[in-house]
Amino acid sequence: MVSESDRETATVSSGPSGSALADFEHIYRHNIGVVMAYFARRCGEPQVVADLTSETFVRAAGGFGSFDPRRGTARAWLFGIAGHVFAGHCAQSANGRDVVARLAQHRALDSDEIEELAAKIDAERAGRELIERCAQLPELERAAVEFVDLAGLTPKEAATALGVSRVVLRKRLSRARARLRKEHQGDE
Amino acid sequence: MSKFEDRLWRDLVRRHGADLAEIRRPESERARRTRPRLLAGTSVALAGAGTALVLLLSAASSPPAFAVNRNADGTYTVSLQKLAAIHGANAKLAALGIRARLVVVTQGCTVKALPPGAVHAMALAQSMAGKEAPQVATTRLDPRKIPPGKFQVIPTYKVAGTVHVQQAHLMQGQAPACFSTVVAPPCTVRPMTVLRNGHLAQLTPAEAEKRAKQALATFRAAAGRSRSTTTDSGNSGNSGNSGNSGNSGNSGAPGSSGTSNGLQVLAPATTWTVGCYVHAPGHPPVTPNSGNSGNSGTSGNS
Repeated sequence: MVSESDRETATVSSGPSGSALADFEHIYRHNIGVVMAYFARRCGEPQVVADLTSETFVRAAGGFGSFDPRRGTARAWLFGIAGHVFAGHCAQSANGRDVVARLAQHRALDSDEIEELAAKIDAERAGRELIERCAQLPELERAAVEFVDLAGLTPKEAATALGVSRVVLRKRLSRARARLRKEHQGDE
Repeated sequence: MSKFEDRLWRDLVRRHGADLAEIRRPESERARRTRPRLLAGTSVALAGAGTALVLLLSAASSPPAFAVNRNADGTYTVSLQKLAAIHGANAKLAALGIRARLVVVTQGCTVKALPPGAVHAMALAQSMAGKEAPQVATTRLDPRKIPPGKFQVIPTYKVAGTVHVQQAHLMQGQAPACFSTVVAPPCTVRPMTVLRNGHLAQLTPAEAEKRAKQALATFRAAAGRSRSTTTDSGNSGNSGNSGNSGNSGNSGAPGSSGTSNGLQVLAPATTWTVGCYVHAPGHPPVTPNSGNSGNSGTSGNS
């Protein structure tokens, strides 16, 4: 889950602060945690979380020149990249190839880093359970719940990240929440 | 940041730092984005509850080399890209009413000795010269933790083309204009544990005092050398100016003597502060706790 302060700093992250490198560092420092948490909810292996996080920021750094804050916040932009990275990872894993190792030049973690990432994965256990409960939902509804209710994006940011209009996002989000609520009441 | 996050950032800078540094946003866009904030001057634009405040602190015509960001928890993050931007950052801190200043560490400065902790960090930075380092030095400070009458000073220096900031320190009175690169003698003379003939032994107060005097003499000699060899260093001009000294309220005519921690020390030719030893002829000496190097600040490096 994302705290209010994280959401506030996310707003800062889209603001200009000088050179592109300084801007990118600002974005990195304010979003590395939420991006890592996004992958930690989806993967149980510290090395995979590290690789996918690295790959997201490597791609972001490479494409930072085309990032336009007027089209959405930095966080929305990063989650759009993270979604593509994860989709690529799933596709390649299904084919038995480790594309992330190739793209991110797979850096081996030391024991401290593994411990940090394992703690992060553990902290996201509740979020992972919610994602598992959303398994029966359509993909867009599942992503809407994850981005808004777990990652802490605003509906506008989530819409940008998922490439849909805000109206569509709100409808899907509302529908997904209603289904989950109904399912929860059924369990009780 | 965690170790993983730090290592990843260094990797990114190594692989994409040069590309990122070359990215130029359209000037019209940058000007459009920055001008409203500049028109607001030092005022703060609130974009509603839960929105962080970003203050851009530079002229619209040139990219800012510093920034002061207010965080959601009430702290401020100060970022510095160039050492020359230190004055702009300090001016903005003053405009915001924050009693904190970035203070340049330079040879030839005879105003204030560098706190021992900062000396170690600076040596570490020098040993890392040539290796990848963050291009922007950042530090976080909390104005609520700065007691009335004190200033938070942040030693700032440049090593191998990269600006570094060190842990902040609280000090009485105004912030000094600069820090010397020479380490300050210890603030408090206490019996110290030393290794003597392979055994731990306590120095007597007299021996400890002698050592403190030696450290002070070493500092004065080193500072005197740098003053004579770097007369146009840009900061030595402040050495005789009591208004710029670390404890201006205690400054006075040179040539007299001051007392601190029971030590009688001779004042140098100019008024300056050496660790906790403030040469304050005509005024009461500064107590050890109002010195500088022994008081750690509320914020460190980010």
